[in-house]
Amino acid sequence: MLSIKGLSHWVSDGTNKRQVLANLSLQIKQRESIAIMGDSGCGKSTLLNLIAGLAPIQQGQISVGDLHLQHASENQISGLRKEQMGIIFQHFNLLSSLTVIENIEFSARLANRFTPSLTAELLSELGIKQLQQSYPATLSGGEMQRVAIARAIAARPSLLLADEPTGDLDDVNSQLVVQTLLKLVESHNIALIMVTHSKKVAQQLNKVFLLREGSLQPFTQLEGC
Amino acid sequence: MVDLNELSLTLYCQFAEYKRKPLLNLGFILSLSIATCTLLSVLMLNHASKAQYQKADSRLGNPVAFQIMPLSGHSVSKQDYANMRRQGFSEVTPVIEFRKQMANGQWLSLKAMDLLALSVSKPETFDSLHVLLPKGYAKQLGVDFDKGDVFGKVHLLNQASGSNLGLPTRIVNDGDWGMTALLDIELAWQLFDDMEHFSSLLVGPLTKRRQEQLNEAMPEHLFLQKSWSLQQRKGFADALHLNLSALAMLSFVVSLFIAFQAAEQAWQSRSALSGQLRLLGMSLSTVRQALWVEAMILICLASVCGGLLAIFIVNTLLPLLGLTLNQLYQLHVSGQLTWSWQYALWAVAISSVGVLLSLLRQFSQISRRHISQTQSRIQRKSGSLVRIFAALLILVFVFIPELSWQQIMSRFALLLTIAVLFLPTLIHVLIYATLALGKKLRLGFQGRYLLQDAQKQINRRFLPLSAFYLALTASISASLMISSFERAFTQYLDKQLNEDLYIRYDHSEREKIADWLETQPNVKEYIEYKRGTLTFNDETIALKAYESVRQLDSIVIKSAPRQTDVASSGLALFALLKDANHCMINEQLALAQQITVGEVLLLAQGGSQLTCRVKAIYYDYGNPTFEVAMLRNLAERYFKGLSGRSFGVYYQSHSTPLKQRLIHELALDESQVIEPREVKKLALNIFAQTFVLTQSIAIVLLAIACLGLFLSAKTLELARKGDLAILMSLGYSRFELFVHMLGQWLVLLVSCILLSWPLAMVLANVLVSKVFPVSFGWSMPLVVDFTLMANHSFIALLCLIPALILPLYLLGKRGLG
Repeated sequence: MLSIKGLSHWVSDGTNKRQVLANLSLQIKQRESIAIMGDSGCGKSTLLNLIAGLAPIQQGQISVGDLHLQHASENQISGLRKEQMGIIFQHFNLLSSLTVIENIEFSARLANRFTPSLTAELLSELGIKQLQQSYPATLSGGEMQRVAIARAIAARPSLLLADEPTGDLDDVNSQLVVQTLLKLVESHNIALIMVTHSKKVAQQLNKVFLLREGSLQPFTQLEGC
Repeated sequence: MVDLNELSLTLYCQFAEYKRKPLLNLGFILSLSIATCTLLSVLMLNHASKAQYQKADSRLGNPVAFQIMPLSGHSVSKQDYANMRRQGFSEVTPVIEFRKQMANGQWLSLKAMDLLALSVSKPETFDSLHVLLPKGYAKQLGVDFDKGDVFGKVHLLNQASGSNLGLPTRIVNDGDWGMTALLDIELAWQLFDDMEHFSSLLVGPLTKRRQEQLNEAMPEHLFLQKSWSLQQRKGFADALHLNLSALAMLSFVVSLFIAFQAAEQAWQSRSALSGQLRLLGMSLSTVRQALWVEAMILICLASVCGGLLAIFIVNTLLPLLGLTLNQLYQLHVSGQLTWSWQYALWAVAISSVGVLLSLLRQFSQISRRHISQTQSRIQRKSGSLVRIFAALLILVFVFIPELSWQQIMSRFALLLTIAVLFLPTLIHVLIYATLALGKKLRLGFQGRYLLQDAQKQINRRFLPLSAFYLALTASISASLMISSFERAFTQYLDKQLNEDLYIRYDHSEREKIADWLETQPNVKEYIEYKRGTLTFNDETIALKAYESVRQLDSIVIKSAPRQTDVASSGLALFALLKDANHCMINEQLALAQQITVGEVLLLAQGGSQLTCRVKAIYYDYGNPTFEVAMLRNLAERYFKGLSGRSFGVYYQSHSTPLKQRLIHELALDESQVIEPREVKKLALNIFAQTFVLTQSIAIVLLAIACLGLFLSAKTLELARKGDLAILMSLGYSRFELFVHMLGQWLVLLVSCILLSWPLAMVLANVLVSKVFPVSFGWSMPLVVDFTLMANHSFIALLCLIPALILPLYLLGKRGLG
């Protein structure tokens, strides 16, 4: 599904250049879920952005299916995000002018995979059926994140990227969101990469990696990184 | 390739933005429409009126080069005409001008001349068998034939035969000959047996030699007079159009400021939306395409709304502009707007410029390849760059000469731009000075914080403040100009029309009117106005002869030798003119020929010449002709053909007015006897109407500024929610917070008002002393009226307060959570 080989990345503030990813490699298969943990600023979000094609690859390779991102055009990368990837953000990134139902339908329609039954199913499974005509501004953090999940899954992606999806949520809501997400990943045959600070959340995924000094290390103990 | 699915989804999201934030987006569309409308309406106004006065332009050059006129008390006889023809002057054509009373009591003016050539070349308008009555004149006289027929009879009253004579009449379209009926001279002789003399003889263009020969061949009682030419009026009308265009450009710029600001606010979340869409897989090209589609829709909306508004404005203002052009050309200009396909193209072009300029920054932000996952912050241009640019503009301002009115306008447009660029710095300085003063006045903590906080908000609010500043400056300068004009013109009319009765007469009526006036005990004094024409520098100018101190009292002096106090006294003026060959000229002549007091003029009439020294220049508002004035004895010593045309009468007592008795007893036409008080009222009304154009644009400017501030207050305060929430957490009540926000706006607006005053005075002075002379041919002294400026500013502030209070109140009410 996703293959990363020898990925290196540097960030610059204009005067200083700092390496955030160093020769990083990762493989993920269908229905597999991976948690990536690490200190703030260690490159977790950069890694997700590179996978999503939101930042140019400086060195190394990322392949999603048959597509090599380092050689892909802007349109191919957009197409990838549209048809094969779903992204869930810490700050939800819902389209504020659209209602809940319109937000959910949006990505499905964009990928030409809109099925009303799936939307209805997602609404009930995520417990947001009663909110479908509401606008994002009127929702709580937990509700918004559930809408974001529904939107990501409604397009039936093969790879789901989640950037600290529970970062803004309390424990109860975090649990609810993660469990629902994992259930949906399982039932819809989706691979999941989740960046998180929460060990409790990370534990629930198939594999947990620690991003340290630019490379991923298997995380075997519940220790700080 | 266009992916229609992606494009429609993006457009759907964009449409949802309009639905979710209707006020903000409507504000944006409205400001674009206003920007389109302000410029378009003036372009339409200029185009529509130009199309109408182009015909008038062609008539400015008079086809009649000269007129042979009789001296006062004489006439042009048939024998005179026959003699001249016998001597080979075939260019001479006789004209008889006379008036007849119609059966309905109205007086009909008639002009008889040889119409044979015209009836052959233009039979649709001219014939030699009918009296040709222009449609407008017929309406004025109350002549209307059955079933709208153009042929009929106009009945005259009390012919010598005792019967009512019916004139064979044809109603024709309004022609070039004004409010008079035209008929062939042979028909006139057939119809009226009292046509013994000619009024004058018309002469076509002549060489200098031929002119001299004609002068020599003419009998003593006739003189050759050069005909009027109004060629110089052409430039005035063009200048008037340019003035209007300049005001419209200013409105367009102010509207663009508002549109730019509205675009930044309405599209604040648009780059975030585009980023979100692209995160969801939307391609950049689709986002760009959708933006273009949106821009096109905005252009269409702005064109249609702006076009409709412009039609409404032009339909209202065109008759007023026609009035001004009538004054310039002394010709009738219709006030009807005819739609032209060009207007639609202009509307689209103007709104395209408006939309693209307002959205340029947004487009470039959204079109970046890199996806922004946070809302973009507006980058302010560095202050030093702006200051360098302003310094460069100051240099250009200093070095632009003022040789033409285009240069004057450009120079002061630059000054306005410089003032806008320095506006934030100047407001900083003003608030800083207030803070320093506040220390001495022991301003409370909250007051000091309000000022300091306001100081920090200047750059953020630069656009709405600049728009308000521009609008207020333009509007105050227009008001100052109008107020100066009103004062100057009222003073002028008070002096000019100081008599109680003004009587116009034709040659045959002079004696009986003079005799009648002599016998009236209530007539304290009556004076006779005498006029003639002269040539100066190949230009035909009017000659006005004065004989009494009271007549000279009616003159408003613009400049005279310093040691004499002639401005307020006719006696002093009389003393100045009575010695040697002294004369005065009107301001129009002084400005056109660059003549100053003390210069010597060589005036000519036929073979006579007079060298006179200019002792004073007088104001002559609204008069399209160049004029020289001197005492009557000097004028009569050198020039023939000084003819009396009217009397001015002063009453002993106002309790027994003479107008109706005079008309009744001497069988004069109502229009011949005028009460100057009425004329004064009418003249002031006409000029007030003319300035409605300027006032309307000034009001539109202020309205745009109000709209801009309304939009700004709403969104800028929303953007400051965080800061305000901190204040609330520190113990500010909702009311205190509201007062704080409103106070801040008021501090900034009052600073703008104070800074607009000096610039408005400079601009008003430029208008009355530099632009007016090139537009109308006359100037006026600027009256700096601080009460007016304060009132105007206060009214602007009063209009703005509701525009500010509503959004601030709503923000407070909805809370800062």
